Amino acid sequence: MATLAELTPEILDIVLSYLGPQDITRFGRTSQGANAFIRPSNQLLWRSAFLHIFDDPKVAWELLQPVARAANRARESVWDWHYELKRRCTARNAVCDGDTTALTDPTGVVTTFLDIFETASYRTDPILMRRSSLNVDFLNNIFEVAPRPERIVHDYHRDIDSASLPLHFMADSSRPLTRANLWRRTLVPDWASKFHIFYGATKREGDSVRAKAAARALVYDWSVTGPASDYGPLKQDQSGTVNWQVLEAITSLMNRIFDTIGLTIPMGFKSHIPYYVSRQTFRNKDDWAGITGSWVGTYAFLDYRALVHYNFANHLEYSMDLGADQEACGDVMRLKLELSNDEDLRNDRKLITRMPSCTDLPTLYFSGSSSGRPIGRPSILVRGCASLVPGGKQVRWRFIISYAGADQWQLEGIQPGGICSGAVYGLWSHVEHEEHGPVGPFCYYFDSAASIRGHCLDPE
Amino acid sequence: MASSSTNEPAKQIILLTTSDNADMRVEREVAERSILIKNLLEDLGGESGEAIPIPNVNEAVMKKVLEWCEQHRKDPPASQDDDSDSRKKSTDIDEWDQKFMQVDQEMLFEIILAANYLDIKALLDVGCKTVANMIKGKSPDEIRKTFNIQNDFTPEEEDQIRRENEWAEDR
Repeated sequence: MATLAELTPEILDIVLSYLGPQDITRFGRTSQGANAFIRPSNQLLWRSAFLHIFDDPKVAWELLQPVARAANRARESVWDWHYELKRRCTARNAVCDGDTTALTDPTGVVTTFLDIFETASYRTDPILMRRSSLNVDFLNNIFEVAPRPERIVHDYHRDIDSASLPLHFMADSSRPLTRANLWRRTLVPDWASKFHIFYGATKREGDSVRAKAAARALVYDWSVTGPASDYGPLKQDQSGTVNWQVLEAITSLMNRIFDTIGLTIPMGFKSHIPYYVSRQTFRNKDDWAGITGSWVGTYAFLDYRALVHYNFANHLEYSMDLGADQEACGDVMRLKLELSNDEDLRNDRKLITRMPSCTDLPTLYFSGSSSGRPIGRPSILVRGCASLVPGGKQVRWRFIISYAGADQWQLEGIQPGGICSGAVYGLWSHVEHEEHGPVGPFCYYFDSAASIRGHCLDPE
Repeated sequence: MASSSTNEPAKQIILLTTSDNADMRVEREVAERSILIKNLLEDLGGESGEAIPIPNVNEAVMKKVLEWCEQHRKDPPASQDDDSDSRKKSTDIDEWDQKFMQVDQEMLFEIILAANYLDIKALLDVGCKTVANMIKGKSPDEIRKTFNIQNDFTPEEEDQIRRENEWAEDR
């Protein structure tokens, strides 16, 4: 009589290719022979098990720019389907089971989730015509079913159950926030800031005045940015790379602002994946950054006296808490941008940077205006450029805003999720950068719906 | 048998001889769902009228296989779909095939082995899906019962393997 055991290995491979890791390992637990069959070195089997739960990482890798892909090669060459699947499931289990040992130092868990996020890709379901990513579904599911999952998003360095913010520079949480403490903020690893940015705002963060104070302490500090970082959320070492801690603080504040004014911005894992905005949205093939179309955003600012007081009058020995200060936000701006090859833009002094960029893709220039301004209000003109950050994974944006016949503001931002992803976050400052000028956070995102409507109405 | 060259090619009848020496007459189009038979016929020139020996499949199983081939004679040929290869595979089976696969376990495995031997990929897949569905959601003990698998682990081994595979349990 033919039995399961008599099927050839090739046939058993096909049978098990229809099953996920739970069913496969349960089958392996039935007998010595079955256990030998599902051994980790059976990469064909574990690849198929992996693909039941996760996006094929190759898709995300193939979308990387050459420099980023080259940096990724070593990883690809040692990729082990069983090891990676087990690692991912183990991280999920730690959060879902509320495993205190694993969560006290969640480095492993968070870097694994970050890896899941960074290998996510969109696929269009041919029947439902819906774009989805298994990795995003997997991560979102954890945050739906696990007990208090947001505790791993930030602040775990001091105390996993603490109610304050991401920016863990406070060595002793009982002490008030001071600038003296600020200097110790180098403790926050990039992966922690990245994960918080990609996850988005947490409930705990929203409820915490201290979190707000911590984020403001970074964003409104004149010393965190300057000419060596082009007045943006970049490292002050002329490398042109992202200062993730500052970017995290900016996203934290802007997410609050958008929440207050009731604007739904792209947030969460799904929006920070490259090509979140489908490439089909852009007709011009040269427009790799997805510029042409409608953009929505706003900016925030602190009362100038408070800003000066915080930066200038506030001595290191004395504490100053910005949590209680009023932060205002500007109008919601709607920009209509268009890719431009204009020589004047290429040679524009205000668009030139001495910082390096990744040359896998050319710097793009654009111009546009603020649309939908009430009649009678002076029109606002915008011009700028977009380039790849060294390493090729994020996009750097500069907007120059002018009105009343003069350039007024420089907006220096980063699109943390990469090409055509959710939103651009950054810092605004006066174009002339005189000392002690006002600064603050801003955010702009591509408005797909409005852009597509715009195209339809376009007489061209 | 080979005298049908003036008729529609679809009506051509061929002769198969099974492992238990039964001769079976079948329309060529139906039999050609099997890539093995299709290739054999092409090698033989297709007009010889000789019986084709199928030494690994008996009459009862062959009947079943040909029943499936008859039902699926007009299916488009299987394509090498890279895309489906890199995504989760669905264990959905269409209604007719589900009914068709409602056979005892021995016959199910015989059909799978025959489909593998005769190179009928779609039937092999349906058979494997059916077996996969019999494993799905079951505990190791239930799987053993379903397939009559002997537990040859010591209790210590069994416990160790359970712990080693704990990570894969759904949450």
